[in-house]
Formats: sequence, structure tokens, C-alpha cells
Amino acid sequence: MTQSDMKVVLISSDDERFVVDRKVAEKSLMIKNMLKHVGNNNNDDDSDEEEDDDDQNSEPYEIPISSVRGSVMKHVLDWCEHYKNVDFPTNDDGDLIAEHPVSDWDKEFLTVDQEMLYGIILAANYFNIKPLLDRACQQVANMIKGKSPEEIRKTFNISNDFTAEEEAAIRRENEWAEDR
Amino acid sequence: MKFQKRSSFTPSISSPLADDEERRLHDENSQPDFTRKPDTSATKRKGSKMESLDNKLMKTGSAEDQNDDDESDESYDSTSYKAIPLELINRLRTFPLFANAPPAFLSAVGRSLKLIQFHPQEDIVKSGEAAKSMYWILRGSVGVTSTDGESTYAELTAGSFFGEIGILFNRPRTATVVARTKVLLGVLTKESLNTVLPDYPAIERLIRDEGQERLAMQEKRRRASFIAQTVNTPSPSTRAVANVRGNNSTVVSNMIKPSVSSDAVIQSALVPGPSLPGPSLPLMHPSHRLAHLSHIGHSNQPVVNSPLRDNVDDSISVREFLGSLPLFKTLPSDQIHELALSVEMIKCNTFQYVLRKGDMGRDIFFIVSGEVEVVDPSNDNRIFARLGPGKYFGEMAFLSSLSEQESTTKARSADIRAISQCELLVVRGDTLEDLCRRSPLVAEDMKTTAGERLRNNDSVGNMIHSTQVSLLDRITVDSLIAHNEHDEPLFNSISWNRNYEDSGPKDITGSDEPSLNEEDPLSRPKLLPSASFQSSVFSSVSSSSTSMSNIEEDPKFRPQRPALPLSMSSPVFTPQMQSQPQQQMQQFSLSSMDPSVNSLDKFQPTRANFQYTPYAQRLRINSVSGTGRRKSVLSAGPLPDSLLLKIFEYLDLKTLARCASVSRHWKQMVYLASNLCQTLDLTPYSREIDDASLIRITNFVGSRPQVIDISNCHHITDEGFTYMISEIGIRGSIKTLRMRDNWNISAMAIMDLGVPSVGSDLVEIDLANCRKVRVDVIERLVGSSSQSSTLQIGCPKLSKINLSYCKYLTDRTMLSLAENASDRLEELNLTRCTTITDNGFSYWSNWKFPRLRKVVLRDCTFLSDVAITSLATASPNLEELDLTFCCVLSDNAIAILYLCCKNIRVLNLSFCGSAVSDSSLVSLSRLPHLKKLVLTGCIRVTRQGIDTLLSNSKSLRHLDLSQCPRINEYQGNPVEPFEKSPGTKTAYLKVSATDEIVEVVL
Repeated sequence: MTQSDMKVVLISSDDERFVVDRKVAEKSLMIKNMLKHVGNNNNDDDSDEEEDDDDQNSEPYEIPISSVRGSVMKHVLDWCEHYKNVDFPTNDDGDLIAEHPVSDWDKEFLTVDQEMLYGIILAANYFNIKPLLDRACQQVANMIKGKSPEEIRKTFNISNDFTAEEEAAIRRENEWAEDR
Repeated sequence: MKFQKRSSFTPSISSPLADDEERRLHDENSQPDFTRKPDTSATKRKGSKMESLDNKLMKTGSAEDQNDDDESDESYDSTSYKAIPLELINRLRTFPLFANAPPAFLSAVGRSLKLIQFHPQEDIVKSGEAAKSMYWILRGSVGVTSTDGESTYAELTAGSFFGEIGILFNRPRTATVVARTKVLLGVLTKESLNTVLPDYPAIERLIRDEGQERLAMQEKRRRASFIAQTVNTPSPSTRAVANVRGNNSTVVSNMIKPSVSSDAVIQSALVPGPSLPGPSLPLMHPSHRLAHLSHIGHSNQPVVNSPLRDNVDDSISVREFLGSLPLFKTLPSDQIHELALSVEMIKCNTFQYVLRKGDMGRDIFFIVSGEVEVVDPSNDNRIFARLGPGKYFGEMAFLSSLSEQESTTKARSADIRAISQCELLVVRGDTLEDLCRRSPLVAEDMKTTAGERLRNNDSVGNMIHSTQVSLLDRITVDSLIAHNEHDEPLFNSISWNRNYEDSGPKDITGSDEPSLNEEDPLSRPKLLPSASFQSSVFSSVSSSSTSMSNIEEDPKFRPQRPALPLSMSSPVFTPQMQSQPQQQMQQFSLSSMDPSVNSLDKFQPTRANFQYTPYAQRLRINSVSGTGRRKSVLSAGPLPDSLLLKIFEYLDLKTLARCASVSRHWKQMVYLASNLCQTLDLTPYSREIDDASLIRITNFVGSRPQVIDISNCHHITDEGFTYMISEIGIRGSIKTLRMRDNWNISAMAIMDLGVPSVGSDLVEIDLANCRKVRVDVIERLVGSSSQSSTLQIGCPKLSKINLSYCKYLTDRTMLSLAENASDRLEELNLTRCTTITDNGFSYWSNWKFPRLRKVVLRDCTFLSDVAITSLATASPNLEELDLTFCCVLSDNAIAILYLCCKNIRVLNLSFCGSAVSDSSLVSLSRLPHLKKLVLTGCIRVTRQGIDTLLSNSKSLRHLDLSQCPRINEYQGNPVEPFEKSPGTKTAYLKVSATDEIVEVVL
């Protein structure tokens, strides 16, 4: 049984089980690092929780993900599935967005309600899926663009804790940023 | 008589200082203490006299003879300035600066100079004030000092000048200048300077340079003092202990005395230490302007720690202190001045009662340093409130006296007891009443505070009552009160912790209301330091010292003190922490760069390397932090900061600025995150950017930008540009500056980049179409590499220069580049520099430019083979060359390129018709690395040459043959045209030799 055939089971915080190909799960650098020693080198299995082992690979590898909800996990895994054959450069300095422009599929994918979007960002950060994180962050940035501070507050449900003078002062300071 | 005369002078001095300018400055800095008029206040102070020197000099013949007693005989006559006294001119000529100045300049300056005399110890300019004039010392000497006079930066004597920083670089006074002897000064207002100087660029250059150097020197000194301070860590921290305890002045003097006797640098190094955003800061968050104030002009010893200050004249700091109070910030400077004159300073020792309930009186007390508590003696000495620096008390009696419309003294409503050694300013009731009548806002403000306090007192009482019942005396009243009173400082420390928390495991809220769960109220103080220890690496001076001071100051907690040395000696208390907010941001950016596996679960802070936080940045940090309010999900939004910052990275400048007005927390992040604003690209807003907005944008981005692009911002003039580059350049590091088409910026201003403190990191500059650029600018920027010269100028890293369309550059430019930049020049663009000729390039023939990779000589139509020969021999490693429209070149130029520059990868020979023939293509085909060749409009090229080129060249991938009419001729016979791919002008040919596809544009 080859490595790529291996299945991984991700268990969300609400105990939903997701069975995916190892290749899909390894879009997440976190999981990739976690599985580094699995499948390649059977002798020194240092993973502690998983007792079942690989000679047969009969049982899929289970990874509990306690900080991601099932609904979000499903979404994120959809993304991983879609991009499972695309290799994103792993180095930080390359401008990912420039090299891999946000596709229509991505836009469609990220057209979700805000709560889900935040969930995706948090999960992408947790799973360490940089391309997804970048895209989702950009999506949020797009939500900010062109909005007035008041609209931004509304969007993010932030309360205005400036005093009137402070707000006037900062408005004066940043007058140049007002659209003309 | 004398007095009358003085008062008649005042307007004559202040009149040229336009009021609106002052207001503008005030707005920009939004710091109330800048509003004081330097010149008027200086003249108002006793003894300032202005003389019409020309009268005097004519009369006495020798300036040395005059003494100031006889000037009361002189009458001031403004018209007499029109005549320039010879004496004055001769005197000006003795200035080293003017030694070579033309007489016309001297008389021009002499005409606009006004003369003022100062007495010894008089302040001439004061740090932080708006700058309107510069001063030439005609007689006497002055000292340039910090605000409090503690450290002296320079002593200047006759023949020197000062005050130029303020007016040349549009910033408030950076230091205080005090007269050492009787001084006669020539005052040159900004306006006159601006009218005279442009005609004499050489002298302007000298003045600007000296100004810039001084500015940088001050910056360095601050830096040095900061580093010295870290070396001397034990001393500031000990001192901080003393400061917090406030009752151990012997420690202070022991620590400080030796340093005073040592040299001045160390002295200035030591003194500012603890008073920077140090321990005193968090105590005064209600009016962090005070802290602010203590930074202005790096006043080394702010009003806050004063055991040593007895011999120092307090009036100055009093004035600034008052001006910094929120209550008075709306007052015009002259009223503050009056107020300052009328206040008294008193000191109280620990446990001393300032007021007793029932005392009669209606004076108001302002806390300068230390803390007091408000005690109700009629109610078991219950403590109502605790007040720190910047707060005031005694207002209730005053207000009630006010409301009854009769100036009777009233009984005090509570005891005021000093917690630590305090310094208080007493404002007499009568003075204040007078003030309130003139400024109703002040009374309004006071009433609000009084109302809040009354309500607070009530609610404290109620709470005590209810909890007493519900918790069945498990909690003592005291602990609850203490809890309540510690609210503000507690929030302060918690807010820091919160910033790191980000769903972190430590439960800080536990310390929020610890006493509720504890049996013993005394255990609470244990909790406090531990709260700050949990985040000990990050806990700032503010949090630790706040909690510390809480313990210290409450007599009940004294037994806990043995715990203190531990925390004091711990790394928590290093000056590094003063830049804590910034580090915090770096942390976030770090984590956003590198999302670690567990970054959601646990935000693990690691200590960032020590980084000096420049003065202006500290100001910024103070202005955006230190609000003493806790960050909550309400003001931060749904995402953790690290991710929010990542999102911010995708925002453009304007959106970012709008985000700053969303909430305090967002503002803090936007202003301080180091991963933002590293590139300042103003080209999208080029049409709307003017000087005022550029200055504000500079203030917004701080020193973060490393790449600045202000191309096409036509409205920018010297004012904004100079401000920007010195602000960002001195404090940060400008690596790239693109300023294409900024033709309003003068050569002088661009030259400012050549000052090492500004341009030391500059690698790339784009001066395309900056019409005022002349050869001296280039010489200046490139600097001098000669070792003998001690003069440090230029940008040592400058290696990419774009001088397109700078039509006034001469051949000397090339000489300068050869002599000073041959070893580092990498890219040079001289598009349409038609004034640079073969002679310019001939300077290069004796030099080697080993790093030169890219040269653009587009439209340099007069360059001949001679120039190319020089270029080719000088730069053997050339990789890209653009010779478009160099029509004079011949086949020889190509041959030389082939011989000398084997590394050429990209060659553009468009419209070099006479240079490109079939035979020259043969030599080009042998260039081993040639990848792209553009032959647009080369009319002599035929298919024969192209065939040779394509079959011989192994590296060619792109060939542009557009507008070449003869490419379908082979030895005079028409041949089959290249087959274009459908719908394009491009043909893709497979070269048999290499099996590679070559893209041919037709």
C-alpha cells in the first residue's frame, strides 16, 4: 500500500469524522509535519496516541482536531481536495497571490457568511495552509476596502471606544484618507 | 518707560509670525504645549530687549562698547532697518559661514535681520515650541540644552547660528537655547530666510547641512543615552524603586551623584532613563499628555521625579505641566502662562494630610508626582479614591463656592492624605475663579469630574453595603475598596496581558477580581505581581511598576515587600520594555509570518532582540497606547491580532488609515505594527497629495517605510518632501526612493538625502524628470569615497540611479560617478540626458565598474562610438543595455560590445539603424548569454543576418524585428516571410542548433 493511498481521519471538535486521502490532508503543513514519520519509516513509530500500526495500514490514521468545528472543517477540506494536485511554493518570499491569482473557484469558495469566513481563517491558520489563509485574509481585506470606519465597525461588530475628542483628532490626522 | 517700550516691541516681533501658521503647526502636532509663541514669550520675560542695532552701532561705533543700560534712550524705528549699517555687514562677514558670501547676500541678510538682546540665563528658544525664526549670534554665547537645562548639547558663541532646524525642516524646536552671557542676536524669520536663501544656494546648502547634522546629532545622542542607560540598568531601576517608594531620596542621590560628576554624555544618559515611558507613565494614563510632555525635547527630568530639583527653576516645568493637563489644554498659552505664574508648589510626605475634612478653603491641588488618597474620616477612614499624577482635587469646595456666586471659603468634604511623597501645585481659588470666568470650559470640565466622583463615592458605598450582606463578611471592606480603587491601574496591567493572551491558557481574569474568591484580603497583592509575572517576559514596565506601586503605596501591604526585589531585579525591568508595544507588534507580525502549528492554542511569546525605539516612535507609542483601557472583544473584533495584522497587510494606505479610526485597539495595531507600511506607495493618490497631506501621511506611517514611491505627486514641494525624508530617513531606513516627475522639489531638498543620517541605507533612487536636479545633486548623493576626507556625505549604498530626463546634468556627473561610485554602481538610467556627451563617458575609461549590470542610454542621441567604447571597457559585466535612438553609433560600437561585454543578456538597439548591419549581427550571435535582442527599426537588417543570428546564437529566446523593412530579403532577393502565429505579430521559430523556440516579433 503506497503512502498516497493512505487515508486520514480528522475528527472535528463536534466529533464529526472526516475521512480523506493523505494527500488532501497534507495540504495542511501541520498535518504533513505530523505524518512525517508515518508511512515512510515503519520501524520507529514515535506517534504516541495512535497505537495501530502501519504494516497493514488497515486502520486509518486518526487525528483529533479539537479547535475546528465540523462545518468549517468540511469547507477547508473541500478546498484541500480541490487543490490537492497543485503545488504551492512553500517559501515565504514569493508573492503567492501574484503567482497564483485568486481563481473564480476561490471566490466562489469564499463566498460564505462572515462567521464561516472567520472560521476558515482560524482553521487555515491552525492547519497552516498558507494559500488558503492568504486568500481568506484577502477576502476579509476586501470587506474592509471602501468602507467608512463606522461601516467597518458594523461589519466586524466592534464598538467605538474613542472619546469624541479622540475621534475628532484622529479624523483630523487622517483627513487625507477620506475619499475625495 | 522701559516697560512701555517693551510692550511696544512685542507686536513688532510677533507680527511676521503668521498666526495661521502657528495654528497649523498646532494642529499638526496636536500637542497643546507647542502653541506658545517662542519669540513673544521670550520678549515678554523680563529683561529682553530689542535694540535697533544700526542706530546703536552708528552711534557707538563699536558694538563691544555698548551696554544695555543706554538702550532705553534709543527709540525703536522699524524704518531704520532699510539702511544697512556697515558695521553689521562687517560683523556678518566674520561669520565663518559667510566668509565667501557675496556682498549682495550680506546686505540682503542684513536687511532682514532683526536684533534682540538677551540676558544671561534667559531662554531664547524653548524645546517643543513652534519655530518661526533662526538666530545668528552676533555677540555673547548661548548653550543648547535639554528642556530642563540638565544636559547641554552644545555651546555656541558669536559667529554661530541656531534655530535653523525648526524652520528648515518644519518642526518644533528640538532643544532649549539659553543665554550664557549677555547675547546679541540677529533674528531671521522663516519668511525672510525663504526669500533670501534661494538666491544663494551654496549658503543655503551650508545652513541646511549644519542643521541636518545637528538634528541627526541630537538623534544620536538620544540613542546613545538610551544605550548607556541599558548598560547602567541597575541604576535606573534602583532609581525607579526610589521613585515608586518616593520616600528614599538618599538612594536616588547616591545613584545619581557620581554620574553627574562624570561626563556629560553619561549624565544625559542616566537622567532620561527612568523618566522615559518608565514607571511614572502608567500612573498618569488619565492624562498621558504629561508623559508625552516629558518626552518632548527629551526633557530628562520631568516634573515627576523631583527630589533633586530643588535648585532648578520650577516655573518652566510648571507651565508645561499645566499646559499638559487635559483640564487646561484648551487654554491659550498666555493664560497658562499667567496661571503658571500664580501657582505654588508644595511637597507632602507619606501619610501627611494635605487637607482635612471640614477645613476651610477653596484652593485646588494638582498632583505633579506621587499619589494621594481621598479618605472619609467620618466613615471609618474609608478610602474613596486614589489619585495619581495629573489628577486634581479640592474642586468640590471650589465649585460650591463658585455656584453660590460669592467668594467665600468652603469646608472640605473629605480628607486628602498623601500615599507617597507628593508634589502638588496649588492654584488659588481666586485665580481659578477668574480663570473659570474667562474659560467656561474649564469650569464645565471640573463640574463633570466632581459629579463623577460624587457618584463614584456613592456607588462604592452601596457596593460595600450589598457585598457585606451577601458575602457575610468573608471579605473585608478594605479589600473590596482596594479592588475598586485599583481598577484603573489593574486594567492597565491586564490590558497588556490581554494583548498576549489571544485565547492563551493563562486566566488573567482571575486576577481581575481575586479578592472575591479569597479568604484573606492580604493575598491579593500576591496575585498582582504574579499576574504581571505570568507574562513576565512581556509585562511592561507599566504593568509591573503599576502593580508594584500599588503594593508599595498601601501601608497594609508593606509586609509583602520582600517579594519586590525579585521582580525588580528580574529582566522585567529593563529599558527594553519601554518599547514594549512595538515589540508586541513585532511578535504579532512574526507569528503571522510563520503560523506555527499551535498558534491557535497558545500564543507563545519569545523575547525579541533589543531594539532601540527612537524618540518619535516612543511619542507615537505613547499617543496610541497607555490609554489604560482594557482591550476587549468589543473593540478588537472577532479575529486574533496576528491574523488581523495579516489582513491589514492586504489593505491600501487609505483603508489602513480608516481602520485606525475604528477603535483604540485597531489604531494601536495600525500605527505600530512593523509589518505594515513598509512600502509607501503614493502613486495611486498622486493627484491629491500635497505637502500637508504628505506630512500627515508621514506621521501616520512613522519610520516604517523602506520603499517610498512619490512619483507623479506633482503637488509636493520642499516642505513636505524634506519633512518626509528626514522623518523617515533619520529614524528608519529608506532603501528605495522613487520620485519620478516631482519637478517642484528643489535640488536643495533632494540633496538632503546625502546627509548620512538620512540616506545611509539608500540603495535605489529614481529622479526621472526631477527637473531641478543638477550635477551637484548627484555629487552630493554619490558622496565622496576619498579616504582623506573626513567629511561624511553621500549615500554609501546607493547603487541604482535613474536620472532620466534630467536635462541639466553635465559631463561632470559621469566623472563623479566614476570617482566615487565605480565600485558599487549597479544600474544607471540616463534616458534623454542629452547634455551628457562623449566627454562624460571618456571619464569612465580609466575606471572599472565591476558591478554595473544595467545601463539605459535611450535617446542619448549624440553619443558616438567613443562613448560606447568607454562604457564597454569600464563595465565588463554589463548584462542589460538599452541604446534606443542612439542614431550616431556605427558597426564599431557593436563590435566593441561584443569584445568587451560578454555577459550581455538583453540588448536593445532599436532605431540604431547605422549601427546594426548584417555583419554586426554576426558578432552579436556570438554573445554567449544574449537572450533578448530588440532590433526595431533597424533598416539595414536583412534575412541573411537574421539567419546567421538564429543559427549561431545558442541563447537567444526573444528577437524583435518590428519595423525592419528588409527582413524578407536575402541577398537582394525576396524570400518567404516568417509565419506568424494566427492573430498575432509573433512567429515562433524552432532553431535547429539548440532545439529551442525563439519568439520573433515582426
